[in-house]
Amino acid sequence: METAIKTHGLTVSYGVHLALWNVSTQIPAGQISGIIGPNGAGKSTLLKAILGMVPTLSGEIEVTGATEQEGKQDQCLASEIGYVPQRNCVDWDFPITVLDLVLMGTYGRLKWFQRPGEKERADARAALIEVQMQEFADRQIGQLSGGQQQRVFLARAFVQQPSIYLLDEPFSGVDATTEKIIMDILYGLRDKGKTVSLVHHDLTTVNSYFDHIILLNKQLVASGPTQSTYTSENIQATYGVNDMQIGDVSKDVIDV
Amino acid sequence: MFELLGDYTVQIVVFSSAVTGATSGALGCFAYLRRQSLVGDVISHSSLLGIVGFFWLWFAFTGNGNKSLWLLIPGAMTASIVAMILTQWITKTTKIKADASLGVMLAIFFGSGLTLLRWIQRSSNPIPGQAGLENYLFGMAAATTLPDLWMIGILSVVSLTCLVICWSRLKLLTFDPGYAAGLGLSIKLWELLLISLLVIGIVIGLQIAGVVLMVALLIAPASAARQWTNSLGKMIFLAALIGAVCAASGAFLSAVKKGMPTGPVIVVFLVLGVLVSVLFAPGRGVLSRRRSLVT
Amino acid sequence: MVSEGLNHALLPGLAFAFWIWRDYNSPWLLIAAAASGLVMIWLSEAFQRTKLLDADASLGIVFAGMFSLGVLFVSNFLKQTHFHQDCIIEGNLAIASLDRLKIGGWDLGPKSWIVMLSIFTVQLLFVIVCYKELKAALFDPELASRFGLQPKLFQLFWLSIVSLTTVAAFNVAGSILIVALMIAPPAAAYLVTTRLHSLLFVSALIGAASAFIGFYASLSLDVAPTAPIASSAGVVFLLILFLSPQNGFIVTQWGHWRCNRETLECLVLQWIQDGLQERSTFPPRASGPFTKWRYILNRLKRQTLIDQSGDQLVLTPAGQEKLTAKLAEFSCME
Repeated sequence: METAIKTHGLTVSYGVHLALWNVSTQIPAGQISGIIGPNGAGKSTLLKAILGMVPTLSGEIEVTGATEQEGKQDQCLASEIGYVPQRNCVDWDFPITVLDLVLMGTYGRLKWFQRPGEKERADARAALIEVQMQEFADRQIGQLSGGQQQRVFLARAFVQQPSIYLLDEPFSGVDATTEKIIMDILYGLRDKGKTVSLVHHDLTTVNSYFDHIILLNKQLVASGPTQSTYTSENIQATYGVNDMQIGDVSKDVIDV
Repeated sequence: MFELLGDYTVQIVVFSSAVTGATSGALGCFAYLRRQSLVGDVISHSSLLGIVGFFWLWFAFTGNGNKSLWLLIPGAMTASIVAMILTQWITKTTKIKADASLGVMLAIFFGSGLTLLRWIQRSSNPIPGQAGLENYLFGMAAATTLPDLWMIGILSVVSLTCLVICWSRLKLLTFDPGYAAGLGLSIKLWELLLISLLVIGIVIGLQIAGVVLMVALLIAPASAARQWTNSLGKMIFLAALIGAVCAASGAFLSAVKKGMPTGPVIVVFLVLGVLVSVLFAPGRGVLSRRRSLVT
Repeated sequence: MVSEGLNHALLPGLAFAFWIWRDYNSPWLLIAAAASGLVMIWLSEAFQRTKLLDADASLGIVFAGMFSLGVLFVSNFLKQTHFHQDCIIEGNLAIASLDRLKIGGWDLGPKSWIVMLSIFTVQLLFVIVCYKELKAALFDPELASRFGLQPKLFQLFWLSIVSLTTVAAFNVAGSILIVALMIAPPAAAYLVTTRLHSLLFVSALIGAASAFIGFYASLSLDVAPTAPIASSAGVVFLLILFLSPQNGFIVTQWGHWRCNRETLECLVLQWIQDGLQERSTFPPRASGPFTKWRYILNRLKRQTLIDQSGDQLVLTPAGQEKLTAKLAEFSCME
């Protein structure tokens, strides 16, 4: 199994609050992997640490094609990883259109004083077509529904043309239809050989969505192929809840 | 009244106010969109200590009173940067929230600044040239001189050029700094630039609007402009226009009626502008929304 | 934030009432100020309901607008009176101390002192009598309404008290620095304690102390007392911020640094337990001072958490315990 991202001894702390402890794991290339854990388990922190967005107390992060070296890291990561952050971090009343938002994905390959040109616009429109949002290109972003906003975020990551996609809770607050549309897009990416990894909270869909999972609760509980790793013992160890059956699991029980 | 526009001094006053209003209005869009009106208030009130402090330091070293903007604006910038750093420390390391820290900065910087101002003004031993320092409280555009206009002009040109050149990055960082960090951009540097633009947007207007009301000159044009357009570029342009018109009118009116502080007049015009925009803007405005509900 | 702006917004009412009645201590001032405050609340709620403006921005604009109207009124119509532009900023303590309350040949002191004392009594009574209800209504209105209290009523009453205080304190503090006097002492007190009743007491103490210090400073500097009082409150805050033994800046930073060092030590314990022996195979560190491996290993040896026999590093029982305790600390569900 080829690895896209490898972490070794990753520890992150925010002041006195420990977010991640000694996490050594890998995200396999060309597969869809899920990062599962309860609230506060450090799942978003893991993504942010991989992207270099938070300072780490210890640890090494290896992204295929780029290792963590001073200076080189930023440029390599920009072309390697497409990041789709949580939707609630953004002001939807901001005066930009959908096309403007997607164009932001091209900023990684432009210099600081450059503006996106015709090529970038064409790439952005192509990305919108991939997520079936091309008619919305000139709408202000606040006019979109939750699911449409999520798809537009995904298009922004497409435009970077990365080999790895990291998504932070893409399905929170999104209806079932949109979830299916987005999953189909992600399957398509996997079939093209891209690596996809997402933070996920709905335990009922883990078996059907993911080839590989990482169970996290500040420490690494288990990681590996879904078949062998997604067992009731492992879920119990991650969530600390007794007598759980996979399949009967409902979100209400988990989100205490 | 309008024949006064032929007067050279009045022309300087109106022109410099227009330039100031335009720059503050344009830069204020970023403060508005990043929800930084509170930070703007801290910067503006804290500047008083810097303004009065640098005036007094100059006197202590040279024995002269100097109220030129070339001395006072760096003073304002110094004090407000220190106040901002302190506010960030406080909100990060204690349980005290942002709006409470504004009250604290008010006590420390505005309180000390005012104490120093009154001490300078005391009749037992006044410093030459100190009259008019008090105008920085509520603004007095009529005090603008030609060297001041140069300073305002240079700051405007530099900051607006910066805005135009770094347009894409500034747009991205205002909208989604988390994603920008994920793209590998150096967030610290860009944050520094955005804060610098905010500080410039504020200190440039202290002479005409005063420290107490300056933040309205920063935020109100952006609030009004937002109602008329959904494009960031057009919003900034419109905010600059609204800022310029209100500032120039306010300055002109206060120059005509001697002794009337400029800041409040400008703010009254601005608030009217916001009201009109909120009510009448096509699409977003309250009245047009009501009409579309009815039809 | 609302109570801060409320102080600014009361100015037009105060100015107008003074213009008509020319008396600082007239009850009409209070009524006009209250009307002014109601207008402000109505306006800012109306703005916020349109959802077209950012909340902070709309509040700021309403306050600035009303305050400006007040200032313009004062500078145009009240130029020759005691209520001039300077009073807006810092009140007029000198005049206020001369206006005394005389009843039947007894000089009971300056009128504004009597007024402030009465308001203080009202506040004290209110807080003592309605302590529990006030706490619930202000901090958790949903819970309060479930218990049958009327949180909105309490909030309204609370805002009225704030307005009352602002109006009465206008003589001493004007319209701008009153905010500093209302926020800086409680903020300083908040650094020292978090229990509400001690917060109230400490904050009143700091307020009074700042007033004393500021007043005597103003005598020696020959300036009006309001500004020195406000800056004393600020200085007290700074002193507590840096020096407080529980929450002071220095103590907090030191605490963070020690916490990080402890975490790193436990990490090394974990790695040794997992079988790592050579320094070169330890994961590299990303940040932090005093994190050289030799330093950490020496510290661990000194605390007898690890043993080194030859080249082999091994955990002692004490080391095992420490590691288990650390792991237990954060593996419970929150």
